[in-house]
Amino acid sequence: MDEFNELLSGDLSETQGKYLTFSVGDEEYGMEIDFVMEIIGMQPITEVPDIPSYIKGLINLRGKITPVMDVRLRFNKMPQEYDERTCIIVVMQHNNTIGLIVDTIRDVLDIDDDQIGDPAGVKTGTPNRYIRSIARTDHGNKLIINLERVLSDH
Amino acid sequence: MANDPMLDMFIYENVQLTERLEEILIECENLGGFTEEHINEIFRIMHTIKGSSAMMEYEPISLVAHHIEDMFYFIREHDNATPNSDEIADICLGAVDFFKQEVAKIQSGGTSDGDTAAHLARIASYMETLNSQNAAPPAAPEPEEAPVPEGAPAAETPAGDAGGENCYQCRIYFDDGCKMENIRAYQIANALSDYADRVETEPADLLEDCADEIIDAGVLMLIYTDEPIEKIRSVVSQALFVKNFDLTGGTGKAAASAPVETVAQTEEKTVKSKPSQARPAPAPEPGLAAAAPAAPASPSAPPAPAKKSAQTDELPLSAVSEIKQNFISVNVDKLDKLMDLMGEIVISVSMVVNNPDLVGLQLDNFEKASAQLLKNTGELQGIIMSVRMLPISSTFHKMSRIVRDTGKKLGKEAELVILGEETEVDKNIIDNLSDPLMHIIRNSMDHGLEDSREDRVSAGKNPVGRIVLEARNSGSDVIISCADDGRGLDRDKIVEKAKKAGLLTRSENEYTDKDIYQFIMLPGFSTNETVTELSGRGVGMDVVKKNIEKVGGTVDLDSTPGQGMTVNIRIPLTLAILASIEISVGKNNYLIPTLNIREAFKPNMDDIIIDPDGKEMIMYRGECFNIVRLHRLFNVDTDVTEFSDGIMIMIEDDDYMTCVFADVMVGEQQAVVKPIPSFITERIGDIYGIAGCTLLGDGSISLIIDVKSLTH
Repeated sequence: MDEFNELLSGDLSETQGKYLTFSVGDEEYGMEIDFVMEIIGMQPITEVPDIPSYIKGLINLRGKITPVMDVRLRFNKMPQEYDERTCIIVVMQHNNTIGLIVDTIRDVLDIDDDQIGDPAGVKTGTPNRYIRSIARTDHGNKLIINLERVLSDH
Repeated sequence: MANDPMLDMFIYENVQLTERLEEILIECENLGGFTEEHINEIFRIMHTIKGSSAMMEYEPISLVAHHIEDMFYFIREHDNATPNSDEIADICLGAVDFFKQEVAKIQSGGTSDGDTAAHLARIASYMETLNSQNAAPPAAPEPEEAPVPEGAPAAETPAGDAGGENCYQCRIYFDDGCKMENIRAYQIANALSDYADRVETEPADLLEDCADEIIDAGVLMLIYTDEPIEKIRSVVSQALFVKNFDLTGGTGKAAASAPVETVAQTEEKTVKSKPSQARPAPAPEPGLAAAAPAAPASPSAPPAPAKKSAQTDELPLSAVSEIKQNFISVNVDKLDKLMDLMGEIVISVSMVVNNPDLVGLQLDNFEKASAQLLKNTGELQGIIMSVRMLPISSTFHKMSRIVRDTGKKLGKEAELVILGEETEVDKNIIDNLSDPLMHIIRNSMDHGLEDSREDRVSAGKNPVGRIVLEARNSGSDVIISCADDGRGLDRDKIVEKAKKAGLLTRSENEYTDKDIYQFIMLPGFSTNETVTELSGRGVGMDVVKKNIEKVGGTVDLDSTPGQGMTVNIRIPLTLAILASIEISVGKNNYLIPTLNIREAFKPNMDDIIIDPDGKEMIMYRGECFNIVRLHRLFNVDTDVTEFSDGIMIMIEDDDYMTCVFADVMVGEQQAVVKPIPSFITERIGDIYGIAGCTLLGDGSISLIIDVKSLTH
């Protein structure tokens, strides 16, 4: 985890084409590293009543109260107990800081644009609304998520 | 926006100066005239504004400042000119508004492009009146002295040349890191040139880039003047960012050996320079002593004693500025960050001290050290909280302006009495107080005070209205009250109006006076028949109530017909800290503000009533209360579902009461209130029953129960 954070705090001008990959269930996903602030281990979560079940509650991120979303539940997968491999990816969007709970972090990969394909071209039936594209890499296929939609309120 | 440090400094300086200027002007108006001290300070402020805005190339500001400076120059030179202080104050306040407006433009990334014509014309016309007034009594001692303000100051008189000219040497060092040392030196030299025939500096050309040189060696100035050394000292000591200076006096052109005086200055301006001037004046400088008998009637002589006497006078000015000058401005973001970091330290400390690796070990020294650490972090936390507290004085002083302006518009006379201005309140609260206070004061001026002096006199009151603005501490709250001695509220009129609006839900005589007065704080409720520029639209008092409630405060009104009205605002000392009781439900913890808790008790099963709808209630002390089961409300798993196993907490808000049922009471907490992140509230709006959240000392997050929504 620390080595990822070191990477994140490195030269930010070099983030073009870099993706953070993580796994949820059997699939591996990727997201542009620009959005990622840091990666932390599982934290105690304070439950908040009356919120959608995929928002687990609030964590204390160095004094900043930050909501966390379980990506597993957001993708309509079965809930799973959190373990020592569970990570929270802290992302920043429109000045909101949000934690995304994922099964585990994989890697930071350079993915060229020509490796990325349109998910509509892949014969998976209806394209998933949270997936923007699919990248074919040496480390297998990665589903590139549409962070905007994952974080949006519908 | 303003990332340029020079621009930042310019804005900061100008905001400070204009605020100070406004204060002085209001004060002078209250005193009924300008003392020499005031004139000098205004002069100096205008001069600084002129210099810095010219440097930053904001023409309009510097132009207006320049003309005002001229005007004051004139007044100072002809201090028998009996200036019309009202007119001066109007002109200057107009200019102050202009400066504020321009600085606001600059701050938001624009440039200063305001129209100066009106200001300049007004100043010019006033100068003409002054001129003609002054020309009328030709008995002035120095008829040959040119009234043209720009003219060389104190044009040499034959007497001055005869032997009165001194040469003072002054080496000035600036505060470390104050930037633009050469320009600051230039400003001082410029200021001195108003008093001196000639000012030579070393380095010679200060407008060249010689800041480094000045940082190292200071700037040396040779001042040829016939003013006394005190004058020079006061000019230099009033300049901004001067760390210290050596002022050596001498007679004639040569710098004679004379006592050297080092005046160390920690911070800018008047207050610090006052003590140094107030201490017993050192034996008169040889130069001065020699000059005085030689030219007893020298033109510079009269102002000097006058100035001294002005200084020894106990001016209210000094009291005010002392409160302010002990404070520095810090970006609130930094304080917020500091507080966040503090929270993190508290967590880290508890992680170290309660580290599971240490369990079962006998570590005497470690225990001692960690106790020390805990104590120190606790103290640090207290101090960081207190850093956010500011005295309320600047907010109160802004109100003098409101009283003055509305008074002029309405043709009413009123004085504002300020009490307890040193009371400290959290920065956030101060920011939210200006607007409500402004509305309250306008309201008092417009509706409260009688329309004419005659009305007041016939009611047996002082013809000049009186508004008392007071702040005081009361436990963990601050009470701010604003009392006028006007007509007071008309209960019948309010009742009538409320009836018309259908606001009365009970019979009229069931309402207490205070209940009735609360009506005027409802939106759109105004007893004023006609809409005036100032009030009458019914917005105002409801804004007051809303703004105060936003910071967790309450407003109530008190009134004695014919004697006046008092608005009492009660606000928590700090937004940041909320005394509360921690309760737990299942594995979750919640906080209830201590102020809202009436009592907590173990329920007796016999007192529980369940109505046919399944609604649970409890009889307690002969009254029936609704029960809110927190575990049901917040959908939390808990083993405690029987009333006999848990605890009942009676909460109240505005006389509405409800019992909430929780598992157990955990203890007391001082909570730092934070809003629920917008990521959540944007989705689902406000969460019923939750007012916010907080970080506890151990780093965990707790939700704060919204007592208002549960009880109403």
